[in-house]
Amino acid sequence: MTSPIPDPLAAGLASGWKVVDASALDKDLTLDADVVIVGSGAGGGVTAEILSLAGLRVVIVEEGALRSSRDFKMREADAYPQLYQESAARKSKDKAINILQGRTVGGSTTVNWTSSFRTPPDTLSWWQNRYGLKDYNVAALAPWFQMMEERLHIVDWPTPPNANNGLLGEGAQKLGISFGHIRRNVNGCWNLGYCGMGCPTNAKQSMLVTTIPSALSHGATLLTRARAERFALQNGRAERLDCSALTADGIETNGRRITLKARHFVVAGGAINSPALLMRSGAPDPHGLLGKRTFLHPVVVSAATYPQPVEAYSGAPQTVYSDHFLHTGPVDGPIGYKLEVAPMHPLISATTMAGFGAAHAALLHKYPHVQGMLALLRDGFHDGAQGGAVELRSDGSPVVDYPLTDYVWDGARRALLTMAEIQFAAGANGVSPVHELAQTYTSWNEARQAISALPMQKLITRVVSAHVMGGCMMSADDRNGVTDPKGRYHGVTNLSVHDGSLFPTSIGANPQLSIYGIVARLASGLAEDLTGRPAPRPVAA
Amino acid sequence: MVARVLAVIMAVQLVAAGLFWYLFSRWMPLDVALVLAIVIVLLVRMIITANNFRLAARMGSAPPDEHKLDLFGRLRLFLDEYSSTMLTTSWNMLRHRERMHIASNPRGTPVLLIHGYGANGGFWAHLSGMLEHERISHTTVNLEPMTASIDDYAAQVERAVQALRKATGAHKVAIVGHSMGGLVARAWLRRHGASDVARVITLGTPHHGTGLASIGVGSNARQMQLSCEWLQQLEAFDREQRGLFTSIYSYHDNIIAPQTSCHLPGAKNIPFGGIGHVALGRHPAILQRVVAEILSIP
Repeated sequence: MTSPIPDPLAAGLASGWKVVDASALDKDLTLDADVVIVGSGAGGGVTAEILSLAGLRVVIVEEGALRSSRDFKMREADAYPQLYQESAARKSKDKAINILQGRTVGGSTTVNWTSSFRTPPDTLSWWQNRYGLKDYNVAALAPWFQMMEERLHIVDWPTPPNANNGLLGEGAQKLGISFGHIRRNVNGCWNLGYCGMGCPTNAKQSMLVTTIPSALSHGATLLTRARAERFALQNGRAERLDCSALTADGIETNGRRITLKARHFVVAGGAINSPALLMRSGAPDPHGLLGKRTFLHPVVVSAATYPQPVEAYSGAPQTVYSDHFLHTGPVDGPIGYKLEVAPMHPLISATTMAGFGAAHAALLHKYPHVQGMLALLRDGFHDGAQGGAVELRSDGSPVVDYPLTDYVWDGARRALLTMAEIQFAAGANGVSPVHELAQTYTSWNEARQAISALPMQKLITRVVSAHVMGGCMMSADDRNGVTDPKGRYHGVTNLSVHDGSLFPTSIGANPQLSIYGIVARLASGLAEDLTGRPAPRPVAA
Repeated sequence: MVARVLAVIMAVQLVAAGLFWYLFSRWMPLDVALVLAIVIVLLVRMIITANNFRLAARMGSAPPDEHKLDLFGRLRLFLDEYSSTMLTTSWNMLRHRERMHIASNPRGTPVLLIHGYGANGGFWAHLSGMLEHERISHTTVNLEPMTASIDDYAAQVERAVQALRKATGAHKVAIVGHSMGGLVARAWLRRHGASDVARVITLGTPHHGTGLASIGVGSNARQMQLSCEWLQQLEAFDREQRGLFTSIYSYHDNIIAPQTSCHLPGAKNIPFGGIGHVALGRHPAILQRVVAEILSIP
């Protein structure tokens, strides 16, 4: 059956894009390039387009497969194993935090929920003051955010929020809590609500349908199902990148080796895989900072049932937010949190919600009436939230060790209280904080007393994350970071990092637009350094 | 398979050296015994190479006067061929891994390299390095099994040609075949046509057979016997396509005899002097000529 939805990836492949599926290699492969980019997500995609437009020969290495709207069937059971790191079950070292990260062409942008925020001003001023990142101010970054907003069609979402989001706004309004509407990178969105399984209509302006096709049309080569293993570093230069070809299921290596040589290398594998690649390569790290200060925006969740259907699985997943509790104190005061909602698809909801047996079944019995609210905690600004550390397992694969401190737990408790209060204000007849010892509470008074007494401990308080940042942090002073303000890795002249791992703290908002804008500036600078000409400006097709 | 056979040969040589070492150590110091044992194994290999030259000279064609070698020239020919053989069989082919190289800013036509009888893609270690340096995309193929009919290798060549075209986006490829590899290219051309190939360059290919084929085993060795029926049919078939071919060969080839068997009527023939059969894959003059031929493809 042919789909009425045009698939730009299929068309591009037919037009002769250079795409090599490493799982199909029957021999070793060596490639040379001007620039090799590791990763095809927010950082890799933006970099690939700008460098390709500048006339540089680019090779993009992606561990995931190339899948497109033809493959996106709005089925969780297919999407999670195919499109996410570790089948969407990546865990922190102590298993206390489940981490959602994309692993497909387009990276997390292929599966994210489209929420687009510029980097908050208080985060930027913290970076300027603490890390000497003087060019990282609102005015200097504004043109870059604007450029990427135009490129990725990031605009106000004109459609009314679905009930899941609407209830956040209603409850907040009743309580006098400020809230706003989320801008989205979509063009012609059908309002289906299955963004997390890959956009089936190509409305989401992810890297998969924007920058990566543009780079390929300008001569870039995309290598899929290829894992970057390590750089060969000699005399302060990256001489080559050794990669392993993976099997078609993306799990094992298939024995074929890929060797990539380039004038310059850009690491953009995300804030777990980027530091891990550099650690495996023995990259210089005189101050012991590589892979440290890894931030997760730890998220706690509150489920509520309403008399009316909410159908939280339907409609644009995130359109209302509240930053009220990011601004009630200074950034380095008690931990602040951003409020949003979570789309409730059956598999991820059932596995995330607390309880088991009859209680769990009872909650799922009311599934269409359930609203899911989340609070993401802004880590990285206080001694009590210095983030985690990326470690390598014996096979070289990475894992994040993230300590959940009393400082973080204090925020988690306040966030669960806030969410319950908002949910009751919006008319909930039951609120179930996602915590193994929590019950379903039927009044705000009952919930307040119970949540105040719940033990805040790992593995019984559900904590999840979809935003990994830090680990290759930038600093003007090389004693405080492994990369400089241009994203260049200290001590390796032809190596840059272009992804969220650069951030010296968490962002305090969904990070995709922060990565797009900041990397657009870094990539344009790199293009100028490598070509000696002004960088081209990418525009939407 | 070839790498395994070579590994067995290497093991036999090591065991033989070990035995000699053990024997000699009764009469002399250990280190002297070891050196002597290694020298004996190397001498055996040298005698094999020398015997090839002897056979090839007996069945060979006389080189033209301008390529006649003096004693020094013959010594250099022999040592060059001996060292090439040792390097190729004991190192390059043993540690060979098949690979494709794609140049980012490529020059010329992508190249498929087809090795000869009893070899593998490791034969091309030197040319491959030079092509990479010259930004020419290329790949090798390992012909299996070792002793098949030459026609049976055509399917493998076709797969390699199409993979190379797909990975580079090029419409046509060039083929460089060493020795039997040149005949494999012709057999592939006979089956799959010339639409995907811009040039076929053969290095020391016995287009009319070689007297030394009778000491080889397998269908492919029989197909390389002097003016056998298979070669005559091939000769009749591609007579009209000789404009595609460049045949590079040496008047002093120690495996192809008569050496003029490499002369392909109607093709661009480029004879050299003073280079042995295996050394064709390593001699700078030959490699530079091959690269020039590839870059001259319009």
